[in-house]
Amino acid sequence: MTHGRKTLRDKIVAKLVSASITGSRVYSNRFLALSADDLPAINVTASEETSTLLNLSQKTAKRELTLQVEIVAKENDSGSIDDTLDGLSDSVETAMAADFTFDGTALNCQLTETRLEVSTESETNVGTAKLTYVATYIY
Amino acid sequence: MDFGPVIDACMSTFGETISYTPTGLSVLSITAIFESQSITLDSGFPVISKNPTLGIKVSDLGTGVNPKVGDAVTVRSVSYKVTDWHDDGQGGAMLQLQKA
Repeated sequence: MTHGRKTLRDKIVAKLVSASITGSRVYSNRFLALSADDLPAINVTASEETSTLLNLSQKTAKRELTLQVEIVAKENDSGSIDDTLDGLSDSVETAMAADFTFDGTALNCQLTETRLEVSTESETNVGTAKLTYVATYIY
Repeated sequence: MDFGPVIDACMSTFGETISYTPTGLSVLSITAIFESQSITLDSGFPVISKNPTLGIKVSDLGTGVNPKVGDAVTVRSVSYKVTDWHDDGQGGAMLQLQKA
């Protein structure tokens, strides 16, 4: 049986792939390094969940899942790394907001935090925008 | 101790001809040691990139001229800019590069 958490994560990945923000480079819980040549990319991870039991006999719970949608990009000719990250963040936020239930998988989902980080240590600036969402669902 | 001959020996062994344009001055053709090692950036998600550096003999830039952030470099037909540099105190300097 597939856990509701995985179902939700998979729905988000599918939504971001279909939005054509970074092509097919949308990963779920990827921990292996990517080459800078393969950027931009998005990695969706689930980091934390709290739950409240709803139905003892069916063992269903109302859950609040903290998800990170991490955008990784490098600076290109069209602008600074900050511009690139902001543009990609806008596309991700728009795609996510189009349906915060993810086809009825969640009751709701909201963006709670965005963290930006830039590394200047390589041949081109590489940055990340980590968007944290909290999704409420029953499973 | 004069390290000039040591730097010269390194340059003749490992160096290659590159173009160096100090900010506000004319382009120079000098011998320098270019390296571009792989580096894993870890600003959250690990990304493998390159870390290009250039070793130069500072006096090759001309009398009284030091490297500056923003100087232009062309190595193997790729354009770079100097983003940081460190003098070794013996006449050499290591320059950090980024693609221009």
